[in-house]
Amino acid sequence: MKMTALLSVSGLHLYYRTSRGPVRAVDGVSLELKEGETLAVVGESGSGKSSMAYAIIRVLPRNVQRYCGSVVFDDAGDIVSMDEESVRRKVRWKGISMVFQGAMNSLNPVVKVGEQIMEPLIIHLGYTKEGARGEAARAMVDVGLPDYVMDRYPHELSGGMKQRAVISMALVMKPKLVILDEPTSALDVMTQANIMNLLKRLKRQYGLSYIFITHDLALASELADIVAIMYAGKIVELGSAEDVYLRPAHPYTQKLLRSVPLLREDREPEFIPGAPPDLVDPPPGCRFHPRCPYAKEICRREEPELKDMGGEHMVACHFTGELRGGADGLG
Amino acid sequence: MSEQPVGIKQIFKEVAKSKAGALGFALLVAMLILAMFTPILAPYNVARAWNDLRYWQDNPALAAPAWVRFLSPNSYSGTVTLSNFSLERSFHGQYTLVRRTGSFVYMYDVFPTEVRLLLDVNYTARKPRVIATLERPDGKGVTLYNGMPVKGENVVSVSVDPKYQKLIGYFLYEELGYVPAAIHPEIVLFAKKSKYMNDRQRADVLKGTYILEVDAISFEKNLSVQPKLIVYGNSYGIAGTDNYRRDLTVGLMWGAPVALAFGTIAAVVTVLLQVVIGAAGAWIGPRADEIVQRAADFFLVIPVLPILILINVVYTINIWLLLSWVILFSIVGGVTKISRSMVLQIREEQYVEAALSYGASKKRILTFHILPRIIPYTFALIALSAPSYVFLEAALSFLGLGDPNIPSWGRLLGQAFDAGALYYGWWWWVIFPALMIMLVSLGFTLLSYAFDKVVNPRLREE
Repeated sequence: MKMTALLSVSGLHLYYRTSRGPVRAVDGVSLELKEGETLAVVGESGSGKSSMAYAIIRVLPRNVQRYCGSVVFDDAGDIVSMDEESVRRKVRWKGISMVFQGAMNSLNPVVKVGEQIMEPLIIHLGYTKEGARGEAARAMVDVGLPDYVMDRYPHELSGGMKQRAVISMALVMKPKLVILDEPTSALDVMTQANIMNLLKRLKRQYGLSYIFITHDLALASELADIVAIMYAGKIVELGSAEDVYLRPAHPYTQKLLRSVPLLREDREPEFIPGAPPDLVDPPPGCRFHPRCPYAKEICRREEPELKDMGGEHMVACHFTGELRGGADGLG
Repeated sequence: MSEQPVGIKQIFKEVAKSKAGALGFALLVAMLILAMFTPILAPYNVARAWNDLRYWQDNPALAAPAWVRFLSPNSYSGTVTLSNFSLERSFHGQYTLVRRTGSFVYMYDVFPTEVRLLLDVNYTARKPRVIATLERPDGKGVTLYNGMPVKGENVVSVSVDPKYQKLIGYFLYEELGYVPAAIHPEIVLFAKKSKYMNDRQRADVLKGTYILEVDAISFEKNLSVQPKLIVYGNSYGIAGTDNYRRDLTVGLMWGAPVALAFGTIAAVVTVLLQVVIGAAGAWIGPRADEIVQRAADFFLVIPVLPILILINVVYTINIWLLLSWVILFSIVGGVTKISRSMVLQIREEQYVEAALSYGASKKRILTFHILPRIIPYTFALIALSAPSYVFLEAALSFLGLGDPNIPSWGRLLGQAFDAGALYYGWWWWVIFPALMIMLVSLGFTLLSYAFDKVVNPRLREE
């Protein structure tokens, strides 16, 4: 069963420099992803989900203070320590591609959609415009875009079409891993469902691996094989979708699952009191303790390690064994 | 927001659709047509003759435009040139007599401004004696010239030269019995006989046919005389003349290609340079950005006009050299700051991040993603800065620092200023060049206004 990992991340840190001090957006994240698997990264806004994605593909903002750890991808080696040029040549789009948050902004408004989809081909494979056109057209058919979209400007497309265009741009080079950063936020529910179905089909068709970043637990459940719950720059729970959804072990995950309103059950959705911590000055010990109903003295002092509870279900809580609570059949 | 036009063709279409844009385009196209026809209507050698004062001597000095005669026929006259003469040649023993006779009709209500007789004389060795007599419609004859001209062209300034004024004085003495202190031949010759016939205000014009008879007597058989009488009016051409008799129409026409070429080339080159340099600086990194921006600050504060004046003192300048200097002093500047601020905004956009993530090189992102976003604004900036370059050329020419070889609007204005044109009421000399500068600037400004509206969605009309 032990397959070699497609992506293995360990001890990944990404701190941003601000005037108030470093923001610990990603603070020691480790995870593994096998080929063909989908990892859903779930967390609140500002929990470091997107930062983790940026750290993996190494698109760093200018104010990076600390970027360390290791991100080993396939046979390309460690992305963190690689030089920029080999990341560009070996990893980007050939190995890992990314669909950025908010498709509307991922397309240049003054460049035709088709030309933007062709760009990676022209850059990486030295295609001529004519050659790239055919390849881009194929990628567009894959995501269900009619071919007239090729010569349209982004503002002439609907939100769903733009999202499809961005996805086809991510797939045009046939990468092994696609990072999807909230690919369906800002879309209406129908379009959302369409895009999710499209993603599922593409996964089957090409055996893709996804890292699916979302704040929507229900949406994550549709696609995920493994789920990582992030809180304040750390992974607090990591395991198979089944384990995390049905047997959540971390109080945060439990609370998160109970905050989802259910259609078929008469249960008040709960909420988590308090606000996510300030990442410049995170609370000592367990970062969730100020909001945790079970917090004890040790939680304020010691930071819990990510412990395996069996079956690769990892949880970072001092009381993992004791706090088993159901999520009442979600998904 | 979604209505923001994309693609250069569409932007131009939108601009042409707006009223301001259409008017701006029309003005500039009209100027362009004028500029293109200029070399045909007034060839370059005519413009080159601008500084050759003899070239213009058939024109009246300081004449208003000819079309004012339609507005006010009683106070303006045209120039009458008499150059068709009959030839009679007779031999009387030892000497030869050449008689040239010509006639013209003078029907204007005002007196001429000046009378000038040109005698082109040719002989072998011995000077002939030449006598020129003007016979007026009332039958009285007046001697204009009596002397021995040299070989070649002789200018007989009937109105100006005291030597010839004296001849008119004899005529006045016969008619009035006295000789006034100041004689105005151009009035006396064309006035009805009265005691006021030397007074422009009170004399009446004697209309009718005037006959000029030029007799040349020589002891040589080889003798020829070609006279030419010019009776200057006070209106000429489309735009009048200046104090050196130069046809202002020629100057105004040559101003168009000069202004358009200078304004457009300077604006296009400097704006494109500044946009690209500013964008590249901001995009490459903080160090490059710092260098570019400090350079821009430097170029913004150095006074270009005095430096250009200094350069002018040291080097002989022509229009292309001037253009090069202007471009050199505008490699970076205000537009650099505009394009930089736009890049700072654009580089945070997700598609730039996406492009970085799919492995586009920085150069590729600059040319593929960033510059296409700035280019539409560049049109507006070019149209906006073109008038200032038109003004700069005019200002330099006004100060006498422009290209000395060809006339330009600024130069016309400068010469008008030096001659005190406004003080003396020579309005055509000031108004037309000023109007041309204004029209070109207006064309560019309207265009930039229209462009701004199209590329800047916040300014668009509902």
